Amino acid sequence: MGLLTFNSKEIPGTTEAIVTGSPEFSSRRVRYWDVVGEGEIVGQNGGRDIVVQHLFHDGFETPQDLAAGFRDLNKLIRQHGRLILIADVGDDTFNEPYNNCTFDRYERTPLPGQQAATPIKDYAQTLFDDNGEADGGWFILLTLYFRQLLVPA
Amino acid sequence: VSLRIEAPDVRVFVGGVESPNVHCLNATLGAGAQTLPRALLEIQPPTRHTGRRRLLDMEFASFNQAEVEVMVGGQVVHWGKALAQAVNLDESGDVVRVVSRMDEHHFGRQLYRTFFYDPLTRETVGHALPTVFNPDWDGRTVGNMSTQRDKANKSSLFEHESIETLPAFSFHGSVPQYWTLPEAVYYLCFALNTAQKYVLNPTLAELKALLPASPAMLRNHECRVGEYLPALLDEILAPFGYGWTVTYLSRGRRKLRFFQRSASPPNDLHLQTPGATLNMKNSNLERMAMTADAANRSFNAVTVFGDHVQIESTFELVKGWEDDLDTTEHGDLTKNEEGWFDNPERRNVWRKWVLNEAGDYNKTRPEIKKAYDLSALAHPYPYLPRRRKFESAITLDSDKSPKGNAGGIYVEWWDNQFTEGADGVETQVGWRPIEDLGPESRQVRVLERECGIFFDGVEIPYEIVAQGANAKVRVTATIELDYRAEVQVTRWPASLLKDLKEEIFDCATKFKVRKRHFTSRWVGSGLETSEVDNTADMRVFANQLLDGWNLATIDGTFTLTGVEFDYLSVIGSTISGISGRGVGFNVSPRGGHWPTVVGAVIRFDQQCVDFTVDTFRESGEVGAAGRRREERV
Repeated sequence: MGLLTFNSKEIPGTTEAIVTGSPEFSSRRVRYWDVVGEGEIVGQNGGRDIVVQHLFHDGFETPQDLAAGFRDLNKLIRQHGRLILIADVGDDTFNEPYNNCTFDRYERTPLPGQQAATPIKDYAQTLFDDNGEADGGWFILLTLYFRQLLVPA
Repeated sequence: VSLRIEAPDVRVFVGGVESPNVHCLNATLGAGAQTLPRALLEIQPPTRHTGRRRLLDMEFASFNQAEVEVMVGGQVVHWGKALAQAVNLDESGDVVRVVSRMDEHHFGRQLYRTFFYDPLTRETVGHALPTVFNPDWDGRTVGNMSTQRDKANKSSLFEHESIETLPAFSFHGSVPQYWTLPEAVYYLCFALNTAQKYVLNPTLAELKALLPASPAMLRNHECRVGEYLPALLDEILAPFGYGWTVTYLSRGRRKLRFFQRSASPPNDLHLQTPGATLNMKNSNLERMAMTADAANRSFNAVTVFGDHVQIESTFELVKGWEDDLDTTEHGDLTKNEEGWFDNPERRNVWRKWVLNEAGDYNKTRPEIKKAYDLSALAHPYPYLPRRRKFESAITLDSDKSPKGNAGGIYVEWWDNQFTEGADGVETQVGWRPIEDLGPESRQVRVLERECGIFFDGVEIPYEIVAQGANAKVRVTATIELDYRAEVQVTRWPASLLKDLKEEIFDCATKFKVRKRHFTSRWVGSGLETSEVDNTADMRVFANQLLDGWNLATIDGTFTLTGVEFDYLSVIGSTISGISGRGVGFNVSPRGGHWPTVVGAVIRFDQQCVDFTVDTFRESGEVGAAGRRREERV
């Protein structure tokens, strides 16, 4: 679906979905003894979570190649910067940057029908690279977790 | 119906520059030297990525001690200097926090010099002499304030020993006045916080509008050398039920503010009636932990004791040697002669004259049958026949020193001769001063361990010896009696404490009674005296004590929602009760007294303020009740 770049580094593969929530705000709920209802004190908006479903592939011919890809991905963990998703949707190009993001973690996620989140090989050549060439390598579905610390108003 | 409060903007300025990366976690406001302003800060940018203050590449005790100001909405709630940093490090991370404080040295210099008006230079000059307002001098409280003011409009002190006479008043340019509380506080503020670098002093008009100006209140108040202004203000204000705090007028402008404890305009806490639907305009009391105590550290009757009463009289003395020595050869009574050396019992003969107030000399001579009777002087109180001491006379000489010819007492001897006047009429010479004795015998020493004198010259006083059986000596001096100046005041049963509970206050250094008895030979002489009777002042003081102590106490803490309050007046304000719940906090049987807000911690992370309240108590430095500080709840 799209190309995912974080802190000027491309995360290889295909982004399936990106889910952004609303910014969270500071608040404290207060109750008073024997009084009905609840009050609150509200502060300013804080950050939000960004969750990305991402098929991680890059023509990894062997499981060792896939492991090397993970090592590169690990280098991006705890980095802070801009997350960009570029995707073609119909005739439009979707290009939305998310500034001030921290890459918190990722999880291996089972594909539909998979019992466990284990890598599989693209024997059926269903995955393609940026040039439209069939991937044919090892791949896995990942859930990437980012925290956007400052959400534009 | 209001169910929400918008948290106000909190802005932190470091070194005068707004610093969005610096967050104030809490700020403390307080009253007095024990709770000076303090704020806890964390340096962390909103994006956390860089710029966070962390335990890395730092010399821990060396950091930028910049000025810090914190604003809530449009109000400044803190000023201080970043004087400390605190670090917490564990497996989950490191947190470096900075403590901004206003310390005692931000209120000027320590007390060391006292400012006197110098009549020679006509300027106020600081000298390394004690600062004592209305000192105790010659057994009485004397005013020592000069009306000569300096550029700061503060009065200066007189050295009280220098201002006894009219020529001295003229030389020093003013007649000494009593220091009042506002004048003394104003003096301390400007004497120490002269430059007003960090905090402004009050005006004299502001102090006079608030503080009582009775000269009877401030007595022999000595300020401790080496103290800073905060502690000195506490010491002088607390006994009279007043406090002080720092108030923030605007960014960069702070001022000392004074308030009357327990009697400032009251505020209510808000908590709606049980079952009501919440409206945050009518409910703000989240938590409360308060204690009311009717008896602990309270009393409803008081006895104030001043110093022992002193009285001047003229006392006729008796011979302080046994009668069988009367016939001793006079040559053996000359000092340093062989007979004088070899017979110590002869050394008192014709030299030692005593009052015999304790009966030590009964039956040592036929004429001494019992101890001297002091009942006329002590009337209507009893006295104990015990040894005393002659003190300086209360009657004053023209130079304001005690009237006397031997250590402040006046010694005379009886001359039984008759002289013929110009009209041919013979009159008895009578009492003569010791100056009329011979030069080798008129030296007189006042005895230290009993009432008496000793002729300490080389020779015995032959003029007295010559009087034979008529020989007499008398002294005019002051003695201390066994009873003390005393005032009792009771307010029971008009008290929240149902029992009668009395308290004794020992105020010997503050209140005196010194009288000249009609038996003093100086009565009718026209000479001035240093007589004093502080009984009326003691009654004022006793009533003040009961104003402060015939109260129940309410102490504790409460938490209010939100952080926006009127911080210009919150410290020193009083809490009269909880509106909506019918709860009152009055602590006085006469009403009008409530617990005072003496501290506030603004918790920005919780968006609430913890307040501390207590009930006014006299400082207790003179009262046993004040020393019983322990809580017994």
